[in-house]
Amino acid sequence: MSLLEKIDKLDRRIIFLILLLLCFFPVLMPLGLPVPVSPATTSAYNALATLKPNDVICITFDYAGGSAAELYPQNLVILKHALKLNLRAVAVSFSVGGLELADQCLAEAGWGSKTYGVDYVNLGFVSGTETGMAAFVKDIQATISADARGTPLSQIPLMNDVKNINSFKYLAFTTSTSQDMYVRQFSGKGVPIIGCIQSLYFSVLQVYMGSGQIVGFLNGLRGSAEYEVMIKELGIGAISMDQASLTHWFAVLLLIMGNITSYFVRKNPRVKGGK
Amino acid sequence: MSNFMRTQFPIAIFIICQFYIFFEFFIPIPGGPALTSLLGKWVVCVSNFALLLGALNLIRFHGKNIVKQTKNEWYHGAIILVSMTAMFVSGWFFKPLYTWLYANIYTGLNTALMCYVGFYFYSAMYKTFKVRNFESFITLFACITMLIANAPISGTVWGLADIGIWIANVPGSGAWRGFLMSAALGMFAVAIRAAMGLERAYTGGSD
Repeated sequence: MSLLEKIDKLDRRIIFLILLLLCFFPVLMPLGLPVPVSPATTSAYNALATLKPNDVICITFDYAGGSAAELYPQNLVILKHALKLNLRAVAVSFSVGGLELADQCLAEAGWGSKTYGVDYVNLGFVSGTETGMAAFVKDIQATISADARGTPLSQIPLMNDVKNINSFKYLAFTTSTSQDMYVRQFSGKGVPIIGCIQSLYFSVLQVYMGSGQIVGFLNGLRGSAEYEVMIKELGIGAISMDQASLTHWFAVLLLIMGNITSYFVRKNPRVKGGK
Repeated sequence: MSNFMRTQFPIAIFIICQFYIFFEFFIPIPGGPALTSLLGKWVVCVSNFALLLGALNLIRFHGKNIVKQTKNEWYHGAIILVSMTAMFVSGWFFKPLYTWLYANIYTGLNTALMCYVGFYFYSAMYKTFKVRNFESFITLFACITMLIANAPISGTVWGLADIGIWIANVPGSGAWRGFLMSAALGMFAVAIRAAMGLERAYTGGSD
């Protein structure tokens, strides 16, 4: 077997091993590769930074553990920023998995130092996906009777100022699935909408940002790293950026190498399967 | 149950609600928004019952497998039911245990599953993503430029990330807009079919 064939038939376990090393190496020895901030993240940052203290923001947690690696840091950094700005926060989940993550994220962002029910609240899970969102937009008190802890909304002081979507000065939706329904239900109501998404949906959110239906968005873990750089509080997003740079370029290398070797192997008549 | 109650009655309810919500959106009706809001609240309630129904169905299906000792399946059912009971009981009675299970078992397993898929993506990129014609070349080119654009370090080298960003912003966005419009038209067509009683899957029909 020629060298070319050996490379073409590279054992997938070698690829796995290299990928594993590229993931671990930057964590043990950070390279400090630069993280330029994109316009989408800058817009998302500005939408929050221009709010006044005590303004109420809403963040949705519509994902579960599988997407948490990319989406949780985005929620975390937004909540940290909101805390710095002395805003009030309402967390809600239109996906079953998000309820616990919202509690965890609020605690990790430092909201424990604030008063629950006065400065922040977790409204818990609202079922019905898009219909649930539509009901939430129109009348929150009619849609949700109690928060995630079971306290009736009428007994939560913060909820006296929150009636419908127009009570919020900023709304960030975080989702691992379709963003279309969020844009359909939340945009055009006079509230700046921010998307927190997986990098996979980058092109989709570009469309909505271009049309002005959302103000900005955080593009996966990279978006959270950029936001962390902007608020000068480096966290898991920034730490992961060395990994992102290395693994993305490794993927590029694999694609190019795989195609070059495959091309020459196919052209070589001595090789089985070649022309 | 009579045919009327099983098929015609649900379709009648569906058509009335659909027409009402559709026209209420365009034509102001006194008390209309309140009724629409009430209907929305009912849907949320029904969705909660659907979740309960899903859980009961899961118990019924896996319970049957366990009782019958179905080969290669009963132990999967047992794992699901034990996990489900553990989460339910802890969520109801021991909240800290539930939070711990969720953060350290459920989230961890879920993330591990996604990572596992990620490793296979890399292997597939090398083994299967081959240029064989012009279309596959275009796909590969877009893929490589997007990967470069998404790597944070690429933004530091002038022009390196720009091709990928241009592809996402111009042809990518254009294609997506076209897709969204065609999907919206498709949804409208489905709505019309449903209003005419031609979409009957939710009544147990075949279409």
